[in-house]
Amino acid sequence: MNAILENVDVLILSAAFVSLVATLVVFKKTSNQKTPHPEFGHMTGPTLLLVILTALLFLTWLTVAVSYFDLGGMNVVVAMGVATVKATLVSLYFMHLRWDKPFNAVIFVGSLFFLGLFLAFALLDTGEYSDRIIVDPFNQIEATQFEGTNR
Amino acid sequence: MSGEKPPQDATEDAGHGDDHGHGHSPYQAHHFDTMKQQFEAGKLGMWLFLATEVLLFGGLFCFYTIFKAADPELFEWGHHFLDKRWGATNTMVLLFSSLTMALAVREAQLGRKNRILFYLTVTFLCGAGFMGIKYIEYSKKFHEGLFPGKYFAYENVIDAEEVRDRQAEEDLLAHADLEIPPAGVVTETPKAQGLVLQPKRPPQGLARVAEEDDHGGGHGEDDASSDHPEGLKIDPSHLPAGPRPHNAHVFFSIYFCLTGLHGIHVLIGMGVMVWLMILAAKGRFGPGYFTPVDLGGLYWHLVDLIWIYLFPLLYLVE
Repeated sequence: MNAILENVDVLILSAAFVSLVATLVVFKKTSNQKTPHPEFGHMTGPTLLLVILTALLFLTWLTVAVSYFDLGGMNVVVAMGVATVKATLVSLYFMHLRWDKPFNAVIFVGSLFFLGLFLAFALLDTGEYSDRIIVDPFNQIEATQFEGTNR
Repeated sequence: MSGEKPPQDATEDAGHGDDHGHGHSPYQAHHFDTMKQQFEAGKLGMWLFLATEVLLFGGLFCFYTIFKAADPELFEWGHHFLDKRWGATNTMVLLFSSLTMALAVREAQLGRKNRILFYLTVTFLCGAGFMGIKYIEYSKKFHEGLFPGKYFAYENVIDAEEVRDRQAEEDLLAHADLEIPPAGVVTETPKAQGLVLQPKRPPQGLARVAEEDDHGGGHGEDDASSDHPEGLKIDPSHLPAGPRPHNAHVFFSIYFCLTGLHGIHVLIGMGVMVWLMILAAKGRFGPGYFTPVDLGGLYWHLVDLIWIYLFPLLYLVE
């Protein structure tokens, strides 16, 4: 079983290396071409897009690899940190935010800010109550008892 | 810039944007001064829509966060039923489709019709592949009776747990019998924890349990997979090693809500791809007009972005 699970790592890592090779090939082929400037909007070169994909695949490999180790509370931190780096790369380069009008970024970051507020206040509120409404430490609730309820 | 041009003149100028007094692009709406202004207004509107999408998923992320804070063991137990391998593969598929989408936007800006169509098709196929893998994962859950909420089949899990526990005890007995004198020493049912005697051969049952603890148990081809009794919906060897939390069904409510809403978004995104392909086949896109591809791309990237968070939250975090 370990072998198969580790193969996902290998699969992601090899995809990242293929992407890296593709980046180099495309870079060599297009290095003498000038990127045209459109009248509006920003045009991203294929080399940069491939670099971003390579980085994203490496980060995916990292987050999967880390999940095999038990770092205690750090597992969540690492997973969320890597996900945030990936999300930043996608939004900055794939979604053109880096070259966009800053106001678009303000809207996006603002939505994340309000999401954070939402989660924070929801957590503050649930922290005020007892842990569980249903206390069933011995797993005595059978499936039949859930039938007919609206849970 | 308000020059009234006959329509046929305007169509000749298609895709060349607004050019001081040379007529409008046919795609320019009358309430915009320039195509640039129209493009930026459209993009602003799209970002506002994406903000509402973030908040839509935010409700479900809140669902996740509150239960994660209250019942961490629920996720520790439940994530063993999700297959990391498929989750990771789906992540790669979506990341790759994001690249092809970004390339489609670039080709739309260059106005190369065949390449736009090619990249849009690849993006569409990646979306289909993602949904195909989702289908494999979902049908396994449905087969095992791991439905959300009140439809969750506790009896399937309990049956499998009983078989697993019985097998563990039998394994232990088989090895313990070699060493125990035939007198009435073993009068009670031996439990794994209570067994104090030391057989020469290590008890395989315990070793396997310890091994499962090491790498998180879960899925894979164990030798037990072939010989479990008929009528069992869940393979006992696929069960998590730890005790089952009292509200096991909630994990699958969270799983199906989050991945289901995300899957619906992927389906909508695939529909957008088809719409863009039709427009591209008509030769609509060029340096002066690529807004639909750009905005469709933003949507697709947001769907990718949400999966970037969903994958570690559901499949990896314990």
